Amino acid sequence: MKLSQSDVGVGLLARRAYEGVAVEFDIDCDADGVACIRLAGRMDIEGTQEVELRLVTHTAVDHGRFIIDLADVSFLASMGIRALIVVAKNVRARGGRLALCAPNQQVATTLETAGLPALVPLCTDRVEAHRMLIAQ
Amino acid sequence: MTCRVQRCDAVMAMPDTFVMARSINELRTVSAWLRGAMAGAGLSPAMSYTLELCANEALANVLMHAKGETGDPIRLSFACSEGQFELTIAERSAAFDPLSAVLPPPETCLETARPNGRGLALMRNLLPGSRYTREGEHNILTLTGHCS
Repeated sequence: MKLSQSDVGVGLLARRAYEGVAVEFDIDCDADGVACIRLAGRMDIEGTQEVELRLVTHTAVDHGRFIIDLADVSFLASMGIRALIVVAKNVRARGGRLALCAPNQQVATTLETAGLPALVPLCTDRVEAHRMLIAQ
Repeated sequence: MTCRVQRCDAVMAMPDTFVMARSINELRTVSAWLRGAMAGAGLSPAMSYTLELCANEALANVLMHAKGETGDPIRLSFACSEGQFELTIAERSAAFDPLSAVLPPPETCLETARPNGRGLALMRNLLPGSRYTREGEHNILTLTGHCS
């Protein structure tokens, strides 16, 4: 399965005008058919509500391979974790694979405390995540 | 409706207090207030993040799951002294101790994993010194830890 740019929509953004509320969502697809979704902003209840539908919609393909890049996520609450688990379960149910990558130290601690690495691969960066997804 | 009741950065033994309406839309306002209070108290960035996260989880749990009479606003107060901080969250609803509620066991299988229910575990694991009391009709949760 290979996603095209028209499938995934490049540069989709969910923004609000005032500082601290915007949550960015953009997705890019590489030559190996691995789609990398970059999230940026606060993944609290409000932020998660902004991007969850996009996350679910754009990962609803059979046998897809996805990286969710968390490098620019500044805050991750349990509602954000819930959304990541929902997406990972959906991807798995469609025969696909998903990896998380590049969380900052505090977000990584949150993910580890919540037990996420036991459910979804957590990689240090996109390169490691890409390598893992391609190898399987 | 949000109103600031008192602000006292200079004397940290005096609590910095905040009253929030029972609305999810208030959470970011509370976070902004708390970040200001923590900056004034000199909490480390890591501990500031931890407390903001735990406060967010505690409040979200109240807003989404509190039972009984829940019309009153939620009162928060932050204080820091001798290297220790306390954030107290007081709200009127049915008694619920988030620090002793039974939590599900850790999960290792994505297919059967529950997406929900990680907020209280985060709070309890990240700030293990926190405490809960019931005072009259109010739940009093005090999140506490070291400032550094």
